[in-house]
Parts: sequence; structure tokens; C-alpha cells
Amino acid sequence: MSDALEARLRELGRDVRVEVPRDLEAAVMTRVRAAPVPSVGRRTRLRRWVAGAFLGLLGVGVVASPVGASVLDWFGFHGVVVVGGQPRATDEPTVPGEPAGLGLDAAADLAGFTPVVPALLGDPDGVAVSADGEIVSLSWGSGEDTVRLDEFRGSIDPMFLKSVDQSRIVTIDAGVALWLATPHDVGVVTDDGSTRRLDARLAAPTLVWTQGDLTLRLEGDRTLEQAVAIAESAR
Amino acid sequence: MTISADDDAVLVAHARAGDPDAFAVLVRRHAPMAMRTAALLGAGANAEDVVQDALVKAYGSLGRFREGRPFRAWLLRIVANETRNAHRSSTRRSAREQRTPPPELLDPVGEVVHREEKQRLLDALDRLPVTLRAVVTCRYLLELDEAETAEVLSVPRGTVKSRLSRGLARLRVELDAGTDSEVGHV
Repeated sequence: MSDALEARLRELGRDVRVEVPRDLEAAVMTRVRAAPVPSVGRRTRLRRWVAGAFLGLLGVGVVASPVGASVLDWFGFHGVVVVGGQPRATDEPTVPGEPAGLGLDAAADLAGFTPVVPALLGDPDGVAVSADGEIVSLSWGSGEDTVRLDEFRGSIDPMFLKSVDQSRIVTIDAGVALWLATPHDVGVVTDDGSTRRLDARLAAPTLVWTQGDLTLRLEGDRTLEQAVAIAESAR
Repeated sequence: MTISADDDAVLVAHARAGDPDAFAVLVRRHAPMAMRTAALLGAGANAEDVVQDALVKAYGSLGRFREGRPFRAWLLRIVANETRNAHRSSTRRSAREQRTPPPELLDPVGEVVHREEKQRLLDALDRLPVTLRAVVTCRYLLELDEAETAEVLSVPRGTVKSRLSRGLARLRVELDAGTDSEVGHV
């Protein structure tokens, strides 16, 4: 009786008639046309009005943050979302370095892409690949002088979640970059649709930009001019 | 008539770039399967609302869609999530609507004997724990492949495999028991 169970289940499924309501498409498209153009990112619930805020501010070129807003702006950087609000008032941010030992070639094998190295910084002192193989992190120097560069493919997870009270959009050779001048929370959001933050820490000034299909985030105690010069030397 | 996945990818790219008409084509193309998925996963009378919300959400999430992935499974995953959310937020009234699928959806044209047999199968399906039922429903009633089932239900493929074999085993036991007792009664 049940040897052909799978076939019977398929037949049952085919027997089920589900009509598509006639006005479904029209109803969906009315709502879609009222919504902003989809922007690149992951946090669906926030996106609609966040994208609106971003488009509204683009014309100005500089984004100032309304203090206390739970979400500040949406930036079209793959894998990076910026939320507003004051960062935790704690000590100076520290920039974690990466251990030496792993070579760039080995990192490329693990991550599946060749990490970009800024010529101004030269060969990194430390190289690491995240456990899921999606983020390559390079670091230079040690202590307060540490600079790090995190690189990942645009559409991958996890992504960085940043909480900042001040940010600017700047122009660099590769296009548009986002400059986060003040200490800000940085974390990683996972792909389960939630806003779970991992490894939240206070980050130093950061420049985020995209190059090819990579999103790059340079962090360290550098001025905007220094950071841009480093970014523009990345090949 | 064959619709290639590439075709979907092109439409997604256009929609992402701000062309809602491209998204309208995707809606038309995938609405039947979206409705079936919502109905069979137990959205009941809410299926239309669930699918409408899911499609609007999908548009808003297009930036999140990973290029090169199959669009249909991604969309159906949103539909499945919306179906679950609809359950969660609705009252006990919908407990009945979680029947999978509601018997009134069955084609009434079939022969009576077949209808009874299908009803028995439906009842057995209905008694499965919801996680097993969802996998069996996706894999066989919706005829999704294993990878699609995993994506739609947001579970690893290994979980699909194990739930599927447990689900089928339980269905077999249920159906065999049902058959035996009926034989005894008649």
C-alpha cells in the first residue's frame, strides 16, 4: 500500500488546486511602486525607510546623523549597514591585529578570492581568514599603531554592522567611500535574518569602500587623507 | 515555454536597478508556486495576504539576493517565513487552517475511491509533527528538489534528508495501520 508513497504524495500535490487571486499582481505592484528602489543589504525590515533616508541625503553628499535614531542611514555598500545612535562611551578603541603565519596565497585559497593589498602599507604583518572562509583580514603594525583591512565579497555574510554618530561619504579613485571618523561599534550580522551582533567591539576610524566585487574596510588611527591614500594604493 | 533560471537572473538585475516592470514579470511567473507553497504549508485563508506580503518583502530584499542563486527558492523561502509568521501572529482560529493542504483544495472531479484514499493520506500527513510535514510537503507535494527544500525551509540538506525519511516512515506506519483496521472492519 505504501511502497509507492512518494508517488502518491506527488499525485496528491498535483491534485491540489490553488488559484492565484486575480488582483494579486496588481496589489503587489501598487505596493512595490510606492516603495523605494531596492538597495543592497540584508536588513529587510529596516530597508524601506532607511533607503529613503539615504536617497534623501545623497544630494547633500555629507550625512549627518540624527542623534538617537535607531537607524541612521543605509549605505549601498555590500555587507555593511550603518545604524545611528551614540556608540558606547568606553575607552579608546583598540584595533586588533592578526597573527603572522598565514600567507596571502593561503588566505586566497581559503577565501576563494585574492585579497587586495594597499601598496602604501606593503606586505601585511598578519593575515587571517574567518572560520567560514568569507572574510580575509590583514593587519599591519602593532599596539596603537595597528591598521587592519577586512575584505569580503559584496553579497556574502556575515556583514558588518556599525553604529556611528558621525559619518561622511567621500570620493576616492574607486568611487564612493564611507568615512567613519569617530569610534563606533562594529559587529557582524549573521544570515538568519536577525540582527544578532557578534564580536561587537569599539572600532577606530574606518574607511569603507568597494573595489570590484569586494567590500573593504580599513580601520586604524589614521586621518581621512591617510586612509584615502591607503585605499587608493590598493590593487 | 521553458523558463530558464538565467532569465530570472536578468529580471532580478533589472528590478534591482530600479525597474519595477521587471519585478512584475517575476511576480506573474512565480505567483502560482508562491500561492501553492503558502497554501500547502498551511497559510489557509491567509494565503493571499501571506503571498502579497512576501512578494513585497522580496522586492525590498532584492539587494540581499545573492546573484547566481535560484530566485524561485529564495522567493519561496520568504513565502515560507511569512506563512510561519502568519501562524504565530494569528489566533487559535487558524489552527484548523494549518491543515496541509486544506481538503477543500482537493480537486473535486476525482473518483470517489481516489478521493477517499487521498483524504486518508491527507489525514496522515496532518498528524505528522510540523517539521516533518513541512519537509514532506515541500519535497513531494510541491515537488521541490532537495536543495530547494533546504533553502525554502532554512534547514541544512542533511536535515531535509533525515526529516524526509522519518516523515515517510511515519506516514507508512500510519497508512498501514489505517489499512489494516479498515480491512478488519469491512
